[in-house]
Amino acid sequence: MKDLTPKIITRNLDLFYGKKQALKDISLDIYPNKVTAFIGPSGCGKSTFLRTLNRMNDLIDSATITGEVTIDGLNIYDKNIDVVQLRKRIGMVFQKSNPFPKSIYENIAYGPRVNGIRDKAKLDEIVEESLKSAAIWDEVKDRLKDSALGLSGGQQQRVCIARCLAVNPDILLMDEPASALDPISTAKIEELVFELKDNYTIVIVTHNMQQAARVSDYTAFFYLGELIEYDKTRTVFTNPSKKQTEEYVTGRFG
Amino acid sequence: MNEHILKRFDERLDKLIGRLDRMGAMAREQVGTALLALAESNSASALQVIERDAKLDKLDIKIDKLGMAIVAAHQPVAMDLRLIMAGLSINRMIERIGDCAVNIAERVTLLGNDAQVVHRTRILEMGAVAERMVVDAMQAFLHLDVERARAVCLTDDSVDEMDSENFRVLTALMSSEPARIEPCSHLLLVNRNVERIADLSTGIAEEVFFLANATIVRHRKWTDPTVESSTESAKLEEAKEE
Repeated sequence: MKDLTPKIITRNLDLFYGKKQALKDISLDIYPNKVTAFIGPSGCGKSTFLRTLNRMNDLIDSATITGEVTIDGLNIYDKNIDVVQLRKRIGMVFQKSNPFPKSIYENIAYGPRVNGIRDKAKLDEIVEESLKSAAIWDEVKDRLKDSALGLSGGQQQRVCIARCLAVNPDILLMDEPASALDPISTAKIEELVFELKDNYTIVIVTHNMQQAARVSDYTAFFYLGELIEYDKTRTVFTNPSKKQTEEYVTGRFG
Repeated sequence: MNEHILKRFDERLDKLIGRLDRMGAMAREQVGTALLALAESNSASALQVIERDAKLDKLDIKIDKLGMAIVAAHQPVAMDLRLIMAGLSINRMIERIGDCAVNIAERVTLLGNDAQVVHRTRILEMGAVAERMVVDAMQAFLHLDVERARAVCLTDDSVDEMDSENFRVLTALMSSEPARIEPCSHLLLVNRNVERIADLSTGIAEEVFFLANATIVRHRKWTDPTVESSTESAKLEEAKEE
C-alpha cells in the first residue's frame, strides 16, 4: 500500500449532522486506478464518508466538517475551490439509477453540452465512447433516441455510469450501485467496475460484503462512524487484523 | 462451460488450474528422476531431487493461498466450488507425491552401489507404472476425463500386486543373504514409497469423479463391477445421510 501515491487523502476528518457525530477522525488514503470499497452496517458512516469526497454534504445544512480531504494534493474544502469544477472531475453513481427523462443519447450528451461542446460529430463520438466504456453500447446503439426510462434497471444504471464518463472525470464514486439489481445485472456492473479501474479511481460503497470481496483492491470497514480497518481486500476477507472486522465479514454481527 | 460474467473469476480459476498443472509436471519429473537415479545408482541426481523439492513446497503454498483467495472473493458454487475443493485436495496429493520422490532419492543416496539389488525386484517396473499414473491422473483432471480417471483407479490393483511381490522377494533375500539386509531394508522403503505414489495418483483420479459429477468415490473397491453404475446408489446413500 505504501508504494503508490494516494489519489485522495483524508486526515482527521470529523463530520457532524447537527450535534450528532457521523464520522470520527477518519484518516485514509485512496489509491489511483484501484477499486476501494467501503463496507459496514447501516448507519456506520460509509455513505456519508463517500459524500465528503465530492462535497455532496455541502447540500445538507446541518452538516459540519473538520479535517482535511485532498485530491491530487489539493484541499477540496479550501475556500477557493470551485465545487462545480471539482464535481466535474468526480462522477457519482447512486443506488437507484436516475437517468434524466430524456433519450439515451441526450442523457449522455447532456454533460458535454453543459461543458460547451456543440459539435454534433464530437457529441456523437462522446456518446458512443461513453456507452462503450460502460459496456452498454451494443444493447442500446439501435435505440439511442428512445427514452432512457424504458431501459431495464441494470441498463439504466450502466447508462448513468456512461453519463458520468461522458464528462471525463478521473474519480468515480459509487453508492450501492448494484443493490437494486438482479444478480446478472449486478455481475455486469461488477465486471464494468473492474474494467473501468484502468482509467479511473473508483470508490464503492456496498452493504454486500461479497461484492466488496469480488471487485475491490482495498476495503475499508466502518462501524459507528469510525474507520475500524483498512487493508488490501484479500487480507480483510482472509485474515482481518481487528476482531470487529472479523465478526462483521463472517456475519457474526452487524 | 461458458465464461463467467466476472472475467477476473475465470482468470483466477485458470491460474489455479495452471499452477496445478505445473505442480503435477514438477512432481512427475521428480518421480522420474528419483527412479532413474535408483536404476543407475546415481547419488548425484538423487541429491538433485532432494534439493528441488523446495520448489514444489513453494508452489504448494502458492496454490493454497490462491484457493483461499478465490473462495473469499468469489464464493464459488456448484462446478466452481468442486473445482476449488478438488484442486486443493489434488494440490496436497501432488505435494506428497513429491515427498515420496524425495524419500526414494534419500534411499538411493544411502544405498550407494548396493542399489543394484533393485534389479532383482519389480520395483522399477512398478515405478514406471506409478509414474504413468501420475501423468494420467493429472491429464484426467486437466481434461475432466472420467474414463482416464477410471483407468488410473483400476491400475492401482496391479501396483498393489507388484508391491506384495516385491515385499516377498526382498524379505526372502534378507533371510537367504543376511549381508543384504541393509540394502533390502532401504528397498522395502522405496517399495512403500512407490506404492504411495500410485495410491496418491488414484486419489487424484478419484477427485476427477467428484469434479465431474459430485460423486465421492473414495474408499471404494475399484474391482467391484458395480462401480460403473454406482452413481445412483451413491445418491441414494447421500439422501439417507441427510
